[in-house]
Amino acid sequence: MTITEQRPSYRYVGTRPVRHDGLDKVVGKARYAADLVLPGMLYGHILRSPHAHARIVAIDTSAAEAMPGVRAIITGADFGDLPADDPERNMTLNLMARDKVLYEGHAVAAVAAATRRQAKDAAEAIAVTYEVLPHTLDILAAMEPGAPLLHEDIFTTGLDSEPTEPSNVANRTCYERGDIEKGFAESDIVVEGEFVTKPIHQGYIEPHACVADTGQDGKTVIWCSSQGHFRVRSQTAAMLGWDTSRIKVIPAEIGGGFGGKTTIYLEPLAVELSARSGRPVKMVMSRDEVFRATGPTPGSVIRVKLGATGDGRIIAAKAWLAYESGAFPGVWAMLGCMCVVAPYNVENFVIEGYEVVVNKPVNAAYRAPSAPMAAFATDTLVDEIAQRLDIDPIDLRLLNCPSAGDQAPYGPKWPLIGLRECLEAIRDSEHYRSEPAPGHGRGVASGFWFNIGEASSATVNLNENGTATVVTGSPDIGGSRASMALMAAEELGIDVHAIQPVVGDTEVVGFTDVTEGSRATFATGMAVVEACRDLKGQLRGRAARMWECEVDDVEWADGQATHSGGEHEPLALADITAEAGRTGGPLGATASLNARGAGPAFSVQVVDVSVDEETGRVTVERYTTAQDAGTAIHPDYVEGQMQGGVVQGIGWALNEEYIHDADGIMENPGFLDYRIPVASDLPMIETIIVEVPNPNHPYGVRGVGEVGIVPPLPALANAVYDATGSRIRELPLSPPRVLEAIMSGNGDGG
Amino acid sequence: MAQVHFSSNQRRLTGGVAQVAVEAATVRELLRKLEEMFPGIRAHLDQTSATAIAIDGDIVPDPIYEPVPPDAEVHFITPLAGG
Repeated sequence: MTITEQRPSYRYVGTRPVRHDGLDKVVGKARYAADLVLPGMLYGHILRSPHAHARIVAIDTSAAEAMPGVRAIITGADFGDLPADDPERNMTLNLMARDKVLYEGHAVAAVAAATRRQAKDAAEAIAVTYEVLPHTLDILAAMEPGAPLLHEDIFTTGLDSEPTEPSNVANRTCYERGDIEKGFAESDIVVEGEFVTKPIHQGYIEPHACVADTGQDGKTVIWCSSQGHFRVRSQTAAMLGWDTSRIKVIPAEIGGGFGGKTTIYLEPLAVELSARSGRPVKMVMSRDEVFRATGPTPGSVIRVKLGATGDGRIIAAKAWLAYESGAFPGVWAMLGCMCVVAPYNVENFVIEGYEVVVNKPVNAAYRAPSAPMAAFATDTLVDEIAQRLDIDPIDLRLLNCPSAGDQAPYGPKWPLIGLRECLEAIRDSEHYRSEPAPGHGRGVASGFWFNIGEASSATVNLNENGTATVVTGSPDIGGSRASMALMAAEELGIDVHAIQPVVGDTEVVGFTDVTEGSRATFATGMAVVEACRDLKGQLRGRAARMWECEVDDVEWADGQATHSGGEHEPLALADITAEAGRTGGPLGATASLNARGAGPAFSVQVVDVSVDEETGRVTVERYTTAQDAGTAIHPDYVEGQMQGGVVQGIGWALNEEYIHDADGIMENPGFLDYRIPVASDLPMIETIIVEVPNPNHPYGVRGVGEVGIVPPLPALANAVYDATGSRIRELPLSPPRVLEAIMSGNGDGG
Repeated sequence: MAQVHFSSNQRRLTGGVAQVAVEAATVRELLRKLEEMFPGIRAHLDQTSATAIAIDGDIVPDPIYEPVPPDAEVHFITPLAGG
């Protein structure tokens, strides 16, 4: 279902053609990095730390070097160190430990050998002497003075006075507005609570994989699974101290990323092993390695207090957020601070956030990073306000809903946004208008994400038969090829299947930032449109030559050139490309840009659940999500992103969590014990696409990949409360936790 | 003149000033003038990674050469990441 707010009608945009890469993926022909086999190829294996925190005293590789099939071994001693202020330094120290290991799974050495078994056996034969250090896993404990320190050079930034001692707290962020004391004093109702979430993994089905082939000329070619092959190139260059021109990265198909493949873990190691062995080297992570060594999303402790008037206006908010970053600092608390009250107009607030390092894998982005945990806290408390004031939870949100021109909590004024339209879409939905089944609980929640622009490039070439090739640098992680083809079809006026969308490598297309931040269809689509518009100008010029008239007398519409005086029969695009060799040569255009004006995204969701009071198991009975897409270029893939975000949010809310033992060893590094939702767990996720076009994009695109994961956490918690009367403030809402809450008569207040 | 707004963290370096008017053609000039007004603020912005700037609501991730319109509303914010 789509609800459109005043946008033009299009011929191709908004239709649902079969995706160009669909058949290959369905029949198994699509090539992923792990599928690649090169002549003479070796296999790499990484030796990882068995300790959460330890000093590396010595590494002896002599026994491993003598083992059969071994061609190269590398350790941290083989890599240089970047300056302390280099933004890529922590990435390089995460790729291979130097003097200390900072979490269980931290890479210590890597081996290339003729077979996988030989590489693994040799890695295990490397003798590492560790001095085990005290570790810290708990976010609050890590913040305490005297906690085991991960880094001697982290001094908390953002404090009122300069710290003199190092700390695990990397930074403090604060946003304030109005008079918080006055706001609470004038509130008729105050609700508050502490909310806890655990690290969870992005859970992509395809583990990290790459093949590197380094030649005697000192250049290397990398095939890999990533969300951005230009970043693979730059990060690999940073790790190795190479010039980027020595590195070519060819994007393989990607089997899921969700933010987890916006950074690298393998590629420089494979390149270095390849350089030392003179052979291509393939490295493929096991699922165990993916869990232990690649970025989960942060765990968090968030305390929120809200004050509201008796008629439901939220007039005061106080939020304290602590996000764990894993072994190196990130920006997660800062982002959480910016999101925590974003769906609400609040006059008075104080928001304070802390970024905390702990002895766990380094966190990576995960769909709308940091926003879901913040929403879990705020939207649970908003539900409590609605319940206590006996106001419909959607009406309460509409009452407090920001719109264009209001000041966002992080500073700037909101541009045109579609939160109100999403709230109204859920309010008016058949799901919300119907009563939950007897015994079922219902929850609603809203969520915000920024969306971003950044750099993109596109090249569009017209072929002699009137078809087109669209080359971009954005890996297709969610159907973006089809979206690029649809926008090009709309511009050029030719059938979408006359267009071949291609993801080009680092040497055939201009620089393009990572596919992240819901940016590919927005930003790279903008580059495609710009290139097509350039081409349309060229086509008019070619038609003018063919007609021997002025170019101003030629118009382009619906895929053909027409003469303004009506003196010539229209020329279809194929008529012009057929003559291109005689009118000036091939027709092609390139556009590179920094996309500006990304449109913020909002989603509002409603869920019905049943709770088995004997086991505590929560079953999702019905789920509806409304999301402002701006314009849905290909509605199938917009709906797919909306559904995917919801499903991952359901997993986060109900089951997923990293479990570490007291020594900091992960106890559930596999999908048997780390439970992600599967199709049989879920009902059809019903979607309502809301279209409030982004005025800064030629087709109104906002980007849809992330915000869908934000509301499920509070929506599920609110639904479980509605079903059981228990407010549970710690995720996941797993059967033991829900059962305990039911047995004790309540979770935690409410 | 552009109206520059400071977050709570940044106000530590502005003596509590929440907003200041600055005449600057580009972000680079703006930063130079802010440093003259509030010594140390530029290092702080770099240190806290708060180098993205919202100019009239449009978030610019790497803004040093960005033009600043005469009556722009400017906020320094965290560079955004995404998943």
